[in-house]
Amino acid sequence: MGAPKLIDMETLYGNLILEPLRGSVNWQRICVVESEIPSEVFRLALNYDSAHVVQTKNPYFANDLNTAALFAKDKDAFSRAPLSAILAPDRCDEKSETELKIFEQTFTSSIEKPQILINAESALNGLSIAGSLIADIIVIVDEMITNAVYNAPFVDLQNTNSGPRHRQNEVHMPSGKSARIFIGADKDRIAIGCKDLYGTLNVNKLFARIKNCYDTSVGDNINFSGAGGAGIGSYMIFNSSASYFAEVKIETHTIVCCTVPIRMSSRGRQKIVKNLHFSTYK
Amino acid sequence: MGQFTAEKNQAGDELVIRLAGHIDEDATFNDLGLAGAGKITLELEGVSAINSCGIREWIKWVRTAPETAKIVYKKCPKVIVDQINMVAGFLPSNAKVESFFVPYYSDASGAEKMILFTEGKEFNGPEVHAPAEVKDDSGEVMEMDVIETKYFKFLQK
Repeated sequence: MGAPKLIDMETLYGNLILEPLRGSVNWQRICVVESEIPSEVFRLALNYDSAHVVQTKNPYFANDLNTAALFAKDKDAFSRAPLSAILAPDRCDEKSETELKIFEQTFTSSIEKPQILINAESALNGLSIAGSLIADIIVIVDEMITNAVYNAPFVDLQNTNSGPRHRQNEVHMPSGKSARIFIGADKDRIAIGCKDLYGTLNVNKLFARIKNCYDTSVGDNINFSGAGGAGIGSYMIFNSSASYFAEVKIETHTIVCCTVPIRMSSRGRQKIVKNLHFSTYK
Repeated sequence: MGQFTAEKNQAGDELVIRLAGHIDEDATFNDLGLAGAGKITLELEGVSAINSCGIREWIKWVRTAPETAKIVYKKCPKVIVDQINMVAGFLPSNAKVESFFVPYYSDASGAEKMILFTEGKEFNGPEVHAPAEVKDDSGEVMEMDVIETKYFKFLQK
């Protein structure tokens, strides 16, 4: 399978880019495909110089193209206002961020997780969405907090070493740093994200690990050694998502976000082909 | 999303364990020894969520059951069925599912309902006999909200 054709992308999709973002799209960094399985999405991300793999069959294709345009236009936008960068890229600012946000909590240790999950669930209950969807989102929040507390502060940039044992009673984020979990919603989607201040996520290794879960079996990828995490948490986040976002400013911050459609059956959600956006810079 | 709880009852060589809440890295299976049991019944209706570390702890725990033990999973919520289908070893080879919940969804109202499928009634081995009709509280017909080939995959084993 070769690289997707990049020619005429502007002709084909340029009209989907909203006014404030027109002219700022770097089409060379966007890989548009029609309907690919998750493993292929990661293959495209890992093998070509794309920062965005967006699929025309994804119901949020146009929106995600605009998010890709925003990444090109303003490198810091995603860091400043991730919820509006995802849900409303044409009006990405603080005001929009505040309007979209339904939950936010800063944390510094593992013992805060149970209460954060209770608070997040309470915020989600206010949206009148299906209980099974709330359960899925709570697991996403759980995995994001777990990664931020147990992995981000302790791994090297190659992500070769593992963090502390996950059953250790209390793990505090060192160097006085914290992380922030946030949830936002518009009428169609919920965006869930976490920002830590370590910037240690190795995106290539992460994608290879998730891809491997799809290529082999999830059970084969579980780390049973007891040290570090189970190794399938990010797969679980990606698998529940319609779009996945990862931004790493090396040794400064990592932001991981995803979106989940609402007002849609679980069956419909499972059939959605996934979009992937990522960026690593110094 | 309640805290993890476990309740264990033993009668002869039969062990009945009721689990509830959120299963994560802090879920303690240490007090739920399975050694020596001839039959192990896991009642799972109250399980609300399970994260990646919870899946790992679960697999390590069920592996401690005697190979000769008969293990039965009862009233599996969707979160458990999803793991059974996704993760080899979550349902060991000497275990079977006696009953599990299937989500139904109404496009009109957005309502969701969980319907219990029990062996001998709504399913027999790999064959599924779904209820003819499920309605929400306002009388709207609901649709089975799963991809059947994926959700019922574990019945094919």
